Amino acid sequence: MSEERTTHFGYKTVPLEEKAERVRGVFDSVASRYDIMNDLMSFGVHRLWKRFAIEMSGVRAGQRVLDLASGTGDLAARFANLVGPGGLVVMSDINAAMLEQGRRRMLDEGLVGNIDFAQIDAEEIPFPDNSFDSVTIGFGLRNVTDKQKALNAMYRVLRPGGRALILEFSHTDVAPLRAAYDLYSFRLLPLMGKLVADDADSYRYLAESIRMHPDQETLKEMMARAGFEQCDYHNLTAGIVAIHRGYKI
Amino acid sequence: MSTEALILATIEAGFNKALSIDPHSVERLASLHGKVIGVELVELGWPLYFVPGPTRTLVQRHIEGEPDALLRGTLAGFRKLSFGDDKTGPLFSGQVEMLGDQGVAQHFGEILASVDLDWEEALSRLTGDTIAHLIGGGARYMRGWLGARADTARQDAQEYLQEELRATPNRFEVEDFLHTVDILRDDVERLVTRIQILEGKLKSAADA
Repeated sequence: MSEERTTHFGYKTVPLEEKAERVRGVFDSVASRYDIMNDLMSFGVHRLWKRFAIEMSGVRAGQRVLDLASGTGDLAARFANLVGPGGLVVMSDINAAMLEQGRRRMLDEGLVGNIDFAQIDAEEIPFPDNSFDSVTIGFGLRNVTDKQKALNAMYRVLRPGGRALILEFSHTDVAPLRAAYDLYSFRLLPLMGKLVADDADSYRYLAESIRMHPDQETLKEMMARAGFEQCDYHNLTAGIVAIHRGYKI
Repeated sequence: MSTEALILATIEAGFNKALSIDPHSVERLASLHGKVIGVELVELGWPLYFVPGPTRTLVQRHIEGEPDALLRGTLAGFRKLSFGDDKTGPLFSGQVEMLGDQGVAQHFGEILASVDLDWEEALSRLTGDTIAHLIGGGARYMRGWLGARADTARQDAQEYLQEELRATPNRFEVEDFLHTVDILRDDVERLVTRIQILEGKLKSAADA
């Protein structure tokens, strides 16, 4: 009898090859309301988390940046400003609907010329070794089926001296906050999803996928396993979100 | 993190809103895309970094490396830049110092001068209203105090020269002296006239 390889999709266990398709379904469903839901769900704080990540990235004029799971491009838009006309930002997502939303937004903001778009899987980054000064993924890693494989790929395409930045929901150690956060995640979030995006299941998946994501120390170890050096992380909002950083030296 | 990020986001939004009133300023800033300009209020002691883009300018607290240009000045200098009669005056008088790439600094400074920015409001966001009020009040107090100190110093110097060293006369002595000079001048004029009359009489007697 052959043993089927499985992974988690939220709290469900699904065949490995099914996860990407299911995640794609979630984001196809929420793409058009993605930004508004982010603002509602985080009370706008996601913008501040992203600002902090940008400052930690140290991206500057003339550099090449690969932004994975760009979504509607909150990080990519700021990177395109920072790298200037002489740099390049590759905005990417596995989901065509999300990437299309992001592409429209870049055009609306006049960001053209130093930004390219690519529909790619973070596990199989189709770029040569050592091609980017910075590789980032914001609120995307938890949706990737094989996270270690994605981290390995991020390391491979980074130039020596470059850095990777992972902005992701994480785990809070503050007990009273955890109870409130659980209540919010499993009761309010699906309700908001139902009311605004007419999709409670996708937002239930969001809450579950956050709980299933590796905690701060585990992710740091995974980065080190991929080859990153000087790995560290910064907790934001009491650990609800964490920014992991690692260098290729 | 959140408080600082929130403040920076608010400043960034305010700056871009002020710019959006004048599309020409947005276009001029777009020409600086890829440059980083630090703006340092002396009262704060650390700079904010402005990163212009095609349609909006980012404001950051940290960058890696050095900015392309740095504008450094007091709150008063930047306010004059935004609201003074001669808006670019502070750039050329040195009240707002330009460091680094002078072309970039001057270009950015001129754009700042063309936009009505409320610097005290920006400072209040960074330091809180109370501290901003104290800095603003402190600046006004310092201005008053320095003015009073200058008046006192002038008065002390005057008294020392007049009363202690007796090197210069006081106002009454000068007035008395000038009055004496006036009397002397009048006396001399009368004497000249008297002499002229006498000379005339002598000449008439001789002719006769």
